[in-house]
Amino acid sequence: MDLLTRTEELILLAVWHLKEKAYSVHIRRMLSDITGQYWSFGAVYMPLTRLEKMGYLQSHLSDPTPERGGRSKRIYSATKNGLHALMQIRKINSAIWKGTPDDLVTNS
Amino acid sequence: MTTSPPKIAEKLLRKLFPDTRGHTMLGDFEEEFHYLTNEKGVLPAIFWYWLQLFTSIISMIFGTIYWGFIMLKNYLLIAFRVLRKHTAYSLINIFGLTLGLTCSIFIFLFIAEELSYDTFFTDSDRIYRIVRQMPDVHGPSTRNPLGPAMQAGFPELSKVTRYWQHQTPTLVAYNDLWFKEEGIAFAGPQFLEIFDYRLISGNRETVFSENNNLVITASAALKYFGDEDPVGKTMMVETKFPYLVSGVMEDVPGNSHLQFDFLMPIESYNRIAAHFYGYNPSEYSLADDWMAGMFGTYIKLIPQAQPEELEAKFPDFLKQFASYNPEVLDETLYLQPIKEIRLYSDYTSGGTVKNLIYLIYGLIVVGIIIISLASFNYMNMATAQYITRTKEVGMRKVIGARRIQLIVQFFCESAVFSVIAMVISLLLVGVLMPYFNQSVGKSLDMSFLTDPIIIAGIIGITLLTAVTSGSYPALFLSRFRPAAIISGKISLITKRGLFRNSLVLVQFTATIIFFICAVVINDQINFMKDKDLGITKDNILILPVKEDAIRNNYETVKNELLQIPDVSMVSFSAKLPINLYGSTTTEIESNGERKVFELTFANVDYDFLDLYEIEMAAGRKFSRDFTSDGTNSIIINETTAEILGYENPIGQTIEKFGGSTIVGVAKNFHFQPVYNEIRPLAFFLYRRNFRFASVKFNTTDTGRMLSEVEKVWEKHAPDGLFEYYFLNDEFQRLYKTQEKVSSSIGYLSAFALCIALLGLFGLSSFTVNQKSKTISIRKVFGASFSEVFMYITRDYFVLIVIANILAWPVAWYLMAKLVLIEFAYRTELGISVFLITGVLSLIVAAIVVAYYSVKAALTNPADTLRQE
Repeated sequence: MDLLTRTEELILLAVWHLKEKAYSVHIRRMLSDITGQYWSFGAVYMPLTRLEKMGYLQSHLSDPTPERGGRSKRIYSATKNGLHALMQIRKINSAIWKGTPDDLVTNS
Repeated sequence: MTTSPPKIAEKLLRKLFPDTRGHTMLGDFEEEFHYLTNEKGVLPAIFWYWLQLFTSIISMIFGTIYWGFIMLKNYLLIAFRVLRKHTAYSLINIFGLTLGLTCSIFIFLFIAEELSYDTFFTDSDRIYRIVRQMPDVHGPSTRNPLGPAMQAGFPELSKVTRYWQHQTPTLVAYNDLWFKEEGIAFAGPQFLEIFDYRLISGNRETVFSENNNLVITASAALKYFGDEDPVGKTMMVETKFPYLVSGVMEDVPGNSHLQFDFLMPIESYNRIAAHFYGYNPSEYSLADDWMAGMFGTYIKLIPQAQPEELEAKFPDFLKQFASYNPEVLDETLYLQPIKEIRLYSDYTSGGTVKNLIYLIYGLIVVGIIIISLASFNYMNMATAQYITRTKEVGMRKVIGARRIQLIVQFFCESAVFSVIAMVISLLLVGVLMPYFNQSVGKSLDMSFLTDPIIIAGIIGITLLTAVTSGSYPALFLSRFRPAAIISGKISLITKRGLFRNSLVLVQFTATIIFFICAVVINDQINFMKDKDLGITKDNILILPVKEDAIRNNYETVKNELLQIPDVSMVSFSAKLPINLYGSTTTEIESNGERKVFELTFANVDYDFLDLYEIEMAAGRKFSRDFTSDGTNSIIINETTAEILGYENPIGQTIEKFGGSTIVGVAKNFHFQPVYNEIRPLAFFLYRRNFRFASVKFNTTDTGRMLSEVEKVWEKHAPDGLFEYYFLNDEFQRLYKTQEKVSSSIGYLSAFALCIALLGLFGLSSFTVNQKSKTISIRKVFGASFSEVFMYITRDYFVLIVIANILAWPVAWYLMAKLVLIEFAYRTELGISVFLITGVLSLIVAAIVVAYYSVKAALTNPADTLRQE
């Protein structure tokens, strides 16, 4: 099984955090807030599609809302496979980070 | 506050980026838009929305290009693989396309050159030639003094010049170096200001300040002076007229109707004309004579002048000159733009000139036909070939190729073939260029490769070929459903046989038409050459008479020439009887009726009619026994007699020529090329301006005879040059233009034939391949070699026969109704040409088809059937 990319990891975690509010607008805003970088919609759509194709995400369309001009939103949630993939990344992360000091730059 | 996103941007987004994956993109954008409106205000929100659209479009464009390139690379790769894998098929295809393209490039170059005529002068749009319309003839020769008269009479003319191209080869010498020059032209002082050729040395305004100035072209300068500077040097014209070279100009471009090497002031024309026509220049000036209409007149308008307004003033203008020559009142002058001279001139004076633009239209049609024939080959071969590639097409579809991708794939393949063929064609054009130039009489070279218009044209031809060739395979073969193709449910063979056969049919029909035309035109030229002219032209030596010493003592010279044992007869005349032009509108009263017609005059001596064996229909020839013959006798030809309409023309007096009496009627003979009908002609015994001596000899040792003749000649004109030619050689040159056309059509039909045969060859290989099992089974059941051979070739015979049946009426119509009608005397358009073409086409087709048919008939059936 291929490892998640960093973007996919971020998006999967954002979806998990946002729960029922996990749709593109909020996911993008959250990623922008956390990373402090500009995220275009396209940068969110592509990984979302890919993750759904890989079976890590599932989605459904919500009821139309007025602030969206009467359009519905696609709400995502992580699947079991998705959560497994996240856990795997976390295991790898902690394994590779193990024993590193809090400040790598000054203590190297 | 409730605002909504910009409507246009939203609409564009919806159209350009259909939300195929259900991202609810537009909703997201609108929500974000409201959020931004609340946070930062309306304007930043609107700005953001537009920015989204803008960046999306940019990435879409880059994406398209990127993926387009990747796919193109793949298409080209496949095309080259196909090319390599099916070598024979590819070679036939490329060869066919190369033939077609080579032919079209030549046609295209020819047309481009014709269209570029006289377009390169500064303000070519304002330069016009005066054309004169007379009651029965019209043409660019105007009354000789017209140019200066116009310059004085019309302020709207910025420049005016007269122009006269000297018609006779003229001797030009520098020191001991001399040549006979044909490019001698006379022009007014403003000529070089209208036609701004580049002057290498000399001043444009003052090169003609003296009447004996001379401007020569760079190539003439090189020929006579080599490295020397010609300016200031004296050249002798006709050994007695000195000209001072005052300027050197670039060579006249080939694509101009003005062609000359030597340009002299028209003021000096009179003395040259007096020399050639034998009159006294101090008594008479041809250049100032309103009776004479020879010179061309060119004008350049001032920018604000309207040509129509100027033309409207001409009738009143001409009235001033009626006192010099009342005929000018019957003449209409109009302006012809200089750019149209080459293609849109249809003048009757001086032989028949046809509107060239029809030739251009014809060539465009021929070019398209040739390209189509080559494309048909490609289509045919490609279709046949793609049947073996149906599995590939099916597989591509299964994997997910859309139809448009298959279409692009097939077009890419035809483009690869076309481009390869074009490159080979350009090389071939380079190799064949000298032969092309020779057969059409042009001087083109490969420098056209630097002309952007020509390059664009060549790219255009390549694209056209690629699109026409690829169209059928692309549109037809991409249509099938993959399952049907792979399971073999669609039988391409039977379905498409009709289509392929009709392509071959069209190819052969066109080829047979070309071929018949080539044969018939060639026949016509031979017919004209072989036709009995009504005179003899064998064993006649022609000596141009240039020296007054000979002209004035012609009787003595004649007698001395007759002393030579090899010489049987000698005659002096002003013109030669095979190429006798120079008609005058003549008005004669006969039977109380005024007859107006164009009459050609021939000044001859007593022996002319005997020497040329011109037969008489009535009356007698000129004779020394009748003293009156020397002053006022005239012999007319049958055409003239018919027009005059006398019951018995002998003895009738014609007032017009100082009361000449008709003493004889000569039988009609062809005194002009045979494509002209026999026009009215009259012989006079006017023994002053003889320009030719005809010497009839009765020996095969022409060398001995010539040296004897030369001795006599040099005795009388020691300073002159001894020139001679044989009448028969001159006669052969009369039909040079027609022979060029004929050989061009011959080449074209050869190209078409090659293309069609290649097509047939390819098709036969395909058929034999498809029918291999049938053939084998037939052989197993005992079919003989000839039966198998007939089985394969039968269809082609039918095809060729049908092609002949279609081609014959078309070729007959083209020849009988459009081409031969132009000739006054025409060859029989018999059935034999058609039958011979038919039989030949069958034989040639049989030979081509035979290769694969014999191969198939000789194959051991076991080899084929074992494959199952």
